[in-house]
Amino acid sequence: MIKIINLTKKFNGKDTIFQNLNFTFLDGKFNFIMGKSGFGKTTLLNMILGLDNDYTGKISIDDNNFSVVFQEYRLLNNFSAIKNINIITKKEINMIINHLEQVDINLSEAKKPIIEFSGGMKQRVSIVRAIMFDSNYVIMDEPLKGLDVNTKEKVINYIKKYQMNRNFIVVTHDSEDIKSFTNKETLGNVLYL
Amino acid sequence: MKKKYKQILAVILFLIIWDISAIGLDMNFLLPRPYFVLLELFKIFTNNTILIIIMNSIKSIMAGLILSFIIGIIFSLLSSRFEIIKIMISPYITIIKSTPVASFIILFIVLLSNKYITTFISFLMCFPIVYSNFLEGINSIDKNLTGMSKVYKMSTSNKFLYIYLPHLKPFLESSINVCVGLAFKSGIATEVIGLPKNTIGEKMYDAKIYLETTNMIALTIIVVVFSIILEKVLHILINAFYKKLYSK
Repeated sequence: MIKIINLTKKFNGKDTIFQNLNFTFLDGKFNFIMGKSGFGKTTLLNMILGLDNDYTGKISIDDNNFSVVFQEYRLLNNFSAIKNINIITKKEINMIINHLEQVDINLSEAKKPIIEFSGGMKQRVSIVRAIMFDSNYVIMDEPLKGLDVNTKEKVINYIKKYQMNRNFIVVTHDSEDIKSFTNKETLGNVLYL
Repeated sequence: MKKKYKQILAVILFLIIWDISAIGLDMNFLLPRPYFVLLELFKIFTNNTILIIIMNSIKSIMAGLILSFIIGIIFSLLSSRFEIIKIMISPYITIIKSTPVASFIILFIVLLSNKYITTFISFLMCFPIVYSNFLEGINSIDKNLTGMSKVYKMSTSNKFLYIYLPHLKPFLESSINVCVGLAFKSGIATEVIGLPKNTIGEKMYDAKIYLETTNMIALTIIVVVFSIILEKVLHILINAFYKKLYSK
């Protein structure tokens, strides 16, 4: 479980983004962070991930083991999709190929270096990497942004299939995404910023 | 016209201008014709003693070059990690970069044995370039990728292999582009001033004294050609290494 206790974050010691924020992300559920651009959604994720420690208050995490879909994908451009996933997850190549095919990336594409990929393809590789990595928490910063309707559906089904009782935190602008990802049993808490 | 043909044409044009100038001047001891330099080159390559002398100089210069890469990379890594080392080393880098090479040669001829002076000066001239290039490379590593490696708990070896090494390739290449030529220039200059025994620099000095310009130009051509070949070979080796790394 991830608990946020009295969290206050200021930029440059002046502009307050959060003031005494308290929230709990439930285990085994899809939790969501919603809000407009510039309201600190990504900043909050960076604080949870330990990439931004400039705040007051406390973020309590049971087991610090994350996988992440970053907004900027953060893939290794010179290496293939397969290699990118293999370096991080240490999973077998055949298993990686199988996962990539589930999000519409075929074998010949999977062997190409990431630098040749479109934004949407990079996004799907980043999602597969996060799903295949053995973690307790999966954090996804706008994972469906820019995907067409068909691909979006495939990606949602793929993520749901491999949720495996993990704690998901999904950042989104679109409340429809909450309906697509969850039902009554899998919906966790929703934080509105 | 293809670039290669243009380059060949430029070389031919240069040789024609040189030949016409040499004929016009008509003083072989000041400016010999290219044909005589070619004959001199042939003479050098059939003379074992001169070949040994050339190898002596090349060995010393390459030792300095290799040393500058090893120590430059180690210090750039340390400086990127420990601010204090970066601050401590910066005055030396500024001094080395801005001091004329002749000043260092004269200073260290007094302090060092003639045997090591060429290696030391080549090292000294190349070290700040390797150090500054690699430090800039390390500092410009994508913070997004290092953040990703932290979250996914990548091992140090994987971080080095998959994040740092690919990013540092252009910095390694530009260091080679600058340093190979510089090492040879400063190395030979050191030998001409310091006159260590059985070196190209010593032979060049003799050529100057006895007005053997043909011999001096032939030796210069050997140094230039070897420097170009070494630079090309290093680039081929680097590309082969990276190709192997990426294709794994």
